[in-house]
Amino acid sequence: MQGGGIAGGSTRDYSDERMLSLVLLVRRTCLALLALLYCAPSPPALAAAHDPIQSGGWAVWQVAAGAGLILSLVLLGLGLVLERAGRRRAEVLLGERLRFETLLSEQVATFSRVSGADVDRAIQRALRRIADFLAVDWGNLTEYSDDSRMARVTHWWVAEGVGPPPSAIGFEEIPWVVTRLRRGELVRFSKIEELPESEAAVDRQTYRRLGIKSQVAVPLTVEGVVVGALAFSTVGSERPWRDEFVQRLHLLGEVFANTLSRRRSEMEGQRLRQDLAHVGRVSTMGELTASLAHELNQPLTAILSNAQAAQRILGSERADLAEIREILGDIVEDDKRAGEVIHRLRGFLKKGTLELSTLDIGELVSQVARLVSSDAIIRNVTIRLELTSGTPPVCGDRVQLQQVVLNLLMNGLDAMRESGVGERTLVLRTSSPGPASVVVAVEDSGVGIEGADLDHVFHAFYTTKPDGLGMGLAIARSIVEAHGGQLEAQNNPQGGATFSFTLPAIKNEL
Amino acid sequence: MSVPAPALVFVVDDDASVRKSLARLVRAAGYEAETFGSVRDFLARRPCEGPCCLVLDVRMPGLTGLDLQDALRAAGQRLAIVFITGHRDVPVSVKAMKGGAVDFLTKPVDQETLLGAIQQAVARTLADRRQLARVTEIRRRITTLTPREAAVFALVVTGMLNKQIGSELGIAEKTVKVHRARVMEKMRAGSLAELVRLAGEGSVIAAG
Repeated sequence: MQGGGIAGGSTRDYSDERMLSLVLLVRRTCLALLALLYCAPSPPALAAAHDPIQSGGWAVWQVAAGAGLILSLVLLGLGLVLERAGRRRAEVLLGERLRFETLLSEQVATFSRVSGADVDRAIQRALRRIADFLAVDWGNLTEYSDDSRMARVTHWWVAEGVGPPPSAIGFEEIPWVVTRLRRGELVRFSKIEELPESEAAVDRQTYRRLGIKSQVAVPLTVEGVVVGALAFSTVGSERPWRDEFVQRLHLLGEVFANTLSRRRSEMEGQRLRQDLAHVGRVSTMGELTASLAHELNQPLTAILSNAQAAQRILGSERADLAEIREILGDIVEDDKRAGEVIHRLRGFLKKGTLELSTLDIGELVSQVARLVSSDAIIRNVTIRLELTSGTPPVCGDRVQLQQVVLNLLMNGLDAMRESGVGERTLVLRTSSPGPASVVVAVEDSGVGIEGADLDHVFHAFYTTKPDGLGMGLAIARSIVEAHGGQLEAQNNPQGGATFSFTLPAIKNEL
Repeated sequence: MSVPAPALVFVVDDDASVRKSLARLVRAAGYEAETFGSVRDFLARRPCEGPCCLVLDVRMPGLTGLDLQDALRAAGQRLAIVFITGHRDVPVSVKAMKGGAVDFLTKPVDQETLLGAIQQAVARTLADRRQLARVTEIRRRITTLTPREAAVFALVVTGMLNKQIGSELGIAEKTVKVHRARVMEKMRAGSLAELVRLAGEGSVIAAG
């Protein structure tokens, strides 16, 4: 079959064991016989010395003993040969067992590291390797539906030339097997006839229909609940399942179940973070409404004035068509500009999943600075950009990282609202301390952070603002950390505070 | 159109397309227009002498519209202002109106409203200038008075009789009469009532 370890060994496993015991039996018999021959001859020999009539018997005895000796030696030799063959066979089995152990421990190690999006691929790979090793035709992972009515095949592997497994199997099609699996028991049969004839009649029928000849299935248990099963089957021929492999498969099932459950909670966490980020964006947007109204108002004002100017020009005797054309061109431009504001707003508020792309942090930071610029004007704050050119690109979600920068900028503006007079400058800086990371820092000249607050600023629902939710920095930090970076706050020696975050850079391919 | 010699409208807004479009509209309505991207740019221009007014954005980077209003007042320039803003802000609009703004309009602003305000503002500029010229003239006349005449003038307008003034200043009633006649002549006042009005105008503005 598929050229692997225990290939084709459907019944040979048993015959090998039988042969081993036979060898041992022969060996023991021969040794016993030899011992008998050397120890037992004395009584007939002594008797023969006194009784000549019996000397014929003595000759017969000697011939018999000689023949016995030869037979014993031959048998012993044969036994040794057989034993060596058996031992070699045992060594092969041991080697296989070791390789299987190695394979499993590799899988365990892989699954302890793998996360999120890679889980599916890792499971797929593990199924292929194990199925290949066991020389089975199907390896699949099924997940039980929430309504406990069917087992959906989530991952599968089939040998070449074997059709794919059905995408789902109803519980009513294999009631006996499912009942056992859901009780946490494993199910194994070397041939369909091993399934109980009456109780598993439906199961037998289903397996026959699917062409399955033998199978081993282990339950997947997450927090005490069986959520699915891991099964390996043959369709080509019947095969026995050795206990030790089955035990190990049980272990593998546990590893799979753990991984799936971890992924489930990771996805839950990610969804939660996205929801929070959305809330954060919406509330930040609320704070930005004034400046956005202003941004929309500018093009709308220009459009209205241009259109009314054109009406007036057309109404006068000397209608200058060239000027009208120019006015219409400007109206189109301003309309586009208004559309862009709305587009930007939409993009910002979009409650999307994480979209990773390669980003130029300087460009991203400038875009956000532009978004905040009119707000800064209202608050009489100068935003100064100090962008280091040639910072390495980073990998991340544009919208989420924009939100972090926006949040830090808005915080900086708020911090300076509280400070009295003096120069109000917000410095937005990007730098790259090394080829492996980039740093974005927002430095304000506000009131700074009080010592006690410094420890709490990143905690959820911690706020010093009367109208603050206390979510902004907590969300910002969780976003930065999800990108493999760190967000920190510190007071400046010259007053005010600096919030900075690092992000791992994408290594430049040389 | 409505004005015989076209009045000049200054448009100060940091948004290029807004000031361009406003200037267009203003020109289409028969005015002259000049645009400026910032308060600083506008302050660099020499003050206008003819009929003019200012259409001014409230929020701009650097100096704001309110800063310009203050600067013009401090410089004694009479230039009526129509404020335009993207964001209705009550405290700011109150401050602007108290500072003498003709109107405080919200963007986007309709032509009827804007042109109406501009027309009013140009008229206000002219009226303010006329009043300023008048006050300047009154003050000039006051400076031609001798100290004694000035003292008599100050007391006459409070309604004192010549006799009372004489005893107040320690001079003869006859002398007061002579000074009073000179004051009427120098101030070009035909009657006591007119003299009182001139004093009022001159001092009110002086106090302002």
